Amino acid sequence: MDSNQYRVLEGNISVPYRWTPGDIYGRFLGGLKEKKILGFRCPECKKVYAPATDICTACYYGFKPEDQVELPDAGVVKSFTVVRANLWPPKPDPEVVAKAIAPTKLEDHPLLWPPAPPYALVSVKIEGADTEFIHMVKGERNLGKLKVGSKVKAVWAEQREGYLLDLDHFEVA
Amino acid sequence: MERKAAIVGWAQSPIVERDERIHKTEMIGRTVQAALDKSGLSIGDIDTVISASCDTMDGASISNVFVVESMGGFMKEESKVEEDGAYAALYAYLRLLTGHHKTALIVAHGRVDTPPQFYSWMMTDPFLLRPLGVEMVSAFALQANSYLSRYNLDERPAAKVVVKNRANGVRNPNTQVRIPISEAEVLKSPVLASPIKLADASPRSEAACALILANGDLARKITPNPVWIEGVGYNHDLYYLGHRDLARPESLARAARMAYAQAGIRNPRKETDFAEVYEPFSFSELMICEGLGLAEAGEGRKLVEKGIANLDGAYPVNASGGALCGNPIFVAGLLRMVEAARQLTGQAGEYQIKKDIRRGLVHATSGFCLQSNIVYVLGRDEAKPKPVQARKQVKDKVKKTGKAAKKAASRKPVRKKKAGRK
Repeated sequence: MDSNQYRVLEGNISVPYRWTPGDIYGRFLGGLKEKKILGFRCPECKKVYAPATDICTACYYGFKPEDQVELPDAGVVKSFTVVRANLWPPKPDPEVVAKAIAPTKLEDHPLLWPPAPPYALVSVKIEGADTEFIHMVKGERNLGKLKVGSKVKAVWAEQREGYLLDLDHFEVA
Repeated sequence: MERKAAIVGWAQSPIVERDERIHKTEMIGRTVQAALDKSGLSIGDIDTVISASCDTMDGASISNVFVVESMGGFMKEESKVEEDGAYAALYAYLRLLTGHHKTALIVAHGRVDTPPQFYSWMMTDPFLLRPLGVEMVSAFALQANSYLSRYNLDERPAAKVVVKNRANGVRNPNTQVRIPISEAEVLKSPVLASPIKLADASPRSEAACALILANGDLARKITPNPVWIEGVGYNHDLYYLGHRDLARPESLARAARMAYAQAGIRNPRKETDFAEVYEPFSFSELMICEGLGLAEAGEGRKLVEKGIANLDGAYPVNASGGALCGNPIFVAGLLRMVEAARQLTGQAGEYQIKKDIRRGLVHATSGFCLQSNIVYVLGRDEAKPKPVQARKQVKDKVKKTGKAAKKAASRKPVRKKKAGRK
């Protein structure tokens, strides 16, 4: 069969969702709105998780609001990758994307589509935490200085809404 | 040593980047028919069918529902996994162990109906990773850098993995990338996400694969060369990348230990002869070999630096060319089982391992950064593989009872035998 005898169907699946972070993740995200990085300390093994998780994976203890601890907005890079290639197809119509893959409240968020390269994904051990926080380092000046072991500090977004990117990125100290 | 079920047949469609001339159901149907032909069975001889496919890649909820016809899963106990086909094989194997089924067909298909970045981006949670655009390449790059910095390594050992696998891929008529590459070319290829360069990454690929398992008594009747499942282990790590040790995947080590315990293996490097592993990126293969206990932590590089893992080496790894030469999503792990079966039955042609092999390791992975791992120990009978006889129906050898027997006997094959694929 000659492929020009029929139509190859092209489509976009636009499915609206509403995702709720709940109590523990909600506290962590709410903390970002106040320019704070909150951790959760397991009362059994004393391990501090930042970002939040529902349970201590060492003890299978379910975190409660009172396990919350405030941590500095700085830490050390444990690993990173500088994304150089544009791995993504061109950004489609923002309305289509917003409806397809993002919470409707964040329709006009600049990062509805993955960030444009170059940027770095970093794994940051926040001071006082026992786990690592996956986030971004942006800007050629920061990327040039980035190493495993670099000290980094949070750069906060002007407008914050209780969302991961209220912490816009980390800069190399 | 477990020897309760064996691989008795298989088939795959050649791995391609994209084939828009074919419906996925045709790809699956032809592959299943080829696997049945190879084992001399008809679809009526199959008791249960387990498939693996990806809802996001197919753009359909429960993506197996409209391929059950082509994979012969209708009017049968059919189910699916939303993971690599190697996990579908586990599900099928466990069904055989219950004693309720004697034969199982495993079918995996992977098509690039949407760019794989979307599929892997949608694997992230909406709160912590999705806003960062985390997908396969960047996630595995973060892991690769964890590994390099932990053991103070540079990028050359991983480049040697690419050189080895691509050289093997040239010999494999069913794989996609069949062009050799030099270490210098790998190191000079453009950076996608440091330290992963274009040549360190597996390509976008499509393929279907089918595998047939039969329980012990029946397996010997179906084929003179059954490939036994001597052990299988599986384990799942934490989801969030910052909550686990990326440099040394614990779930892989646990999966391997579980498989080795079943197979009675203490030293996998000495008691097995080769490995087929699912390496989405070159760096992954080094980490996987270490996790399997084929090298000490941080010393996976020695396998490629000393030529041990080469096709003609003491312990070949990915003689088929591995996923770096063709990585159909949800199929690539099942293909590792097929490749190991080809090796153990002397059917690997140009990439047949020359030394005497009796037992091989198969590894497959699912999720970001080797989150979930499955390890099989596959082995052949002690005697050398017997020449494969002319394919014939062995229906009379497959004893059924009662209603099932009448039903199976009266059912015709769903497809007429097709001419070979071109």
